[in-house]
Amino acid sequence: MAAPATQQIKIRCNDEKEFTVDRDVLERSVLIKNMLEDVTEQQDAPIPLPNVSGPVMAKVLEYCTHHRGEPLPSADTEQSQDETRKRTTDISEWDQKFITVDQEMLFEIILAANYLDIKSLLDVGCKTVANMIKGKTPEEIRKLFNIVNDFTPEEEAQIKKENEWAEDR
Amino acid sequence: MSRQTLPPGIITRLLRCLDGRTLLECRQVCCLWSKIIADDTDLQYTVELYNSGMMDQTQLFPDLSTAERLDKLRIFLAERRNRTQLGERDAMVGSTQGSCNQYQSYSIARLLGDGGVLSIVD
Repeated sequence: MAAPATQQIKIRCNDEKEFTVDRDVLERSVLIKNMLEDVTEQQDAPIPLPNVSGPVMAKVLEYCTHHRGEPLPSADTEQSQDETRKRTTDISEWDQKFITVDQEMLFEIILAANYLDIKSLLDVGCKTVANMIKGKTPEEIRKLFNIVNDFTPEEEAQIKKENEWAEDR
Repeated sequence: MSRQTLPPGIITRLLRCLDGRTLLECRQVCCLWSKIIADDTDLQYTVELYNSGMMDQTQLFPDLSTAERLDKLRIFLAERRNRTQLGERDAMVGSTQGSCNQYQSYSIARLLGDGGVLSIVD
């Protein structure tokens, strides 16, 4: 049930930046897809997206345009245990190139994908961050995420001890 | 370094992409990450599999949930500890001495009966 490819939808980002986009491209976002389904009559006012800025939306739209026409993951796939148990961090070549951005933009893209409900883009973002974590020490991971070590010395010693026990196995 | 922080739901999601070895590092990062790993069945299962040197046999038992797998793993590990304490270990794994690698030589599935979903990592 492909939507008419010619229908154009206008969106407005939180920095007033507006985009006019083919409906099927925008419908990669489950949030926007549901919004559009709720609206019965043609309306000219742009859809406001208060959580996304223009530059981030431009990247998101680049992704959605490239992947237009691909089947959307169903709710069942989301629940699939096989999928969650698979520790895969493989990313396709195009996605890899697309997601090669600075970390600020990477996190913004992840947050936008989460808000707009674009599961495949969220996965690409999460896998990319997971790849950044691999091989790093806890201190390096804290630096990466700007996280403060809030363990008490006792708690830290306890976890270290448990981990050493694990390493000894 | 980023000024932007990611919400716990997304942290959980990206941690689920990681292997047990890396999750051990991750739980040393901060209280929130430690709690996320401890509270999430899927992440806990990955950590405990790694800790025990076991491997999931997902494809053989597609209907078992992660929670059920975690339960079976914990039951098995408790049993393994008991047997070791009772001195049955040598009888179980043959006459070789020393490391836990001995466990490679015997089938966990036997212990768990037809519900066995685990096997030893090589």
